[in-house]
Amino acid sequence: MCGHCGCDKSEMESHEHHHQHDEKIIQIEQDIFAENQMYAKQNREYFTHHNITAFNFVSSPGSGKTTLLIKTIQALKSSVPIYVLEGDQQTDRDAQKIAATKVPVIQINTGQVCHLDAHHVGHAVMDLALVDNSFLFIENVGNLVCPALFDLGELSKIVILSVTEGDDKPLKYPYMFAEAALLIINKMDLLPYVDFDVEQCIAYAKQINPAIQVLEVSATQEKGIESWLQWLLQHQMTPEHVFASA
Amino acid sequence: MHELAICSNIIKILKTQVVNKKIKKIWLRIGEISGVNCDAIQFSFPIAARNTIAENAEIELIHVHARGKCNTCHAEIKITTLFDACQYCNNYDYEIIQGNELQIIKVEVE
Repeated sequence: MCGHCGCDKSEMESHEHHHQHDEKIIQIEQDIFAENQMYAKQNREYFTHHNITAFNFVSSPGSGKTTLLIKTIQALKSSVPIYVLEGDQQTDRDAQKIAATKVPVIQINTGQVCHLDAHHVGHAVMDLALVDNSFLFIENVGNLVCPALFDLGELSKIVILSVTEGDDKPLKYPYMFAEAALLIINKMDLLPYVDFDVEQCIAYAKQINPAIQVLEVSATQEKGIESWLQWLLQHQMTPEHVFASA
Repeated sequence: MHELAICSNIIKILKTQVVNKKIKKIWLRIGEISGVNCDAIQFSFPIAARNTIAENAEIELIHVHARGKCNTCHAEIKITTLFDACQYCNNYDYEIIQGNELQIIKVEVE
């Protein structure tokens, strides 16, 4: 570590260490994601304080996120309060589908932007006025690239991959799989009709993230839903989390 | 294309750090596995910088190699992708030490 300007010379391959004392040079040394990180931290503190279990659902478009959420809500809403944030570039079609299940939902349209960020989520959470001890499901914009880089303050990311997309997606879009706690392989009912090697897909995902857990589900056929609900309830924040973070 | 959002963030940060001066050049530190495409940054920046203090500024990218520490054999390893195995014991479980950087280092003003 350089004692003069604080830079770490060893980390850089081609660091030109001139120490320009020219007044035309202004040292900044700031993380470009600092602002998002700050909002994410605020969201996380809020969730922890109120014992809200927030999951960030990420996938490519059309993987079945909304269908899985609807089945999940139908199974759990009588036992635990559930809130949903829907992220899409345009339209409130997903929010309408979720609203039909009678749980509170807010649609965020990101317009030209390809991901939700922690600032978006913080505002929407305030508008939703969640009760304590609830679940918040954030359905991110369908995109396997950008949402990986934006922490929203969630407890975990859950990545959904449908068998129609190809078993090599973890290697092609590794950031998303590196960030997720759980991989849900969806549309398992279509497996006989597509060239998708489930074991190979899991092996690729574990190559990137050895700790990733995997569930095989068909949301439309309601197969594997029990295991998924069990996983969700096992990971629900308990008051102990609140005490631990106090 | 999150690089446009990243470039907008860069402009936002610079507006708080640089007052009443036009920015000529910006040095960014970009980790090899930060998930950011350098060409897309160069492409997006002029769009984000239009009509700001950083309009027409040159971007210089300082690349940081990615390194990890293997959780199995504890060796320090070189990483080029997120699915590289440890070069010594062939396991995939390691902590990333560097390579995730995405920072503004400094700017040159007129």
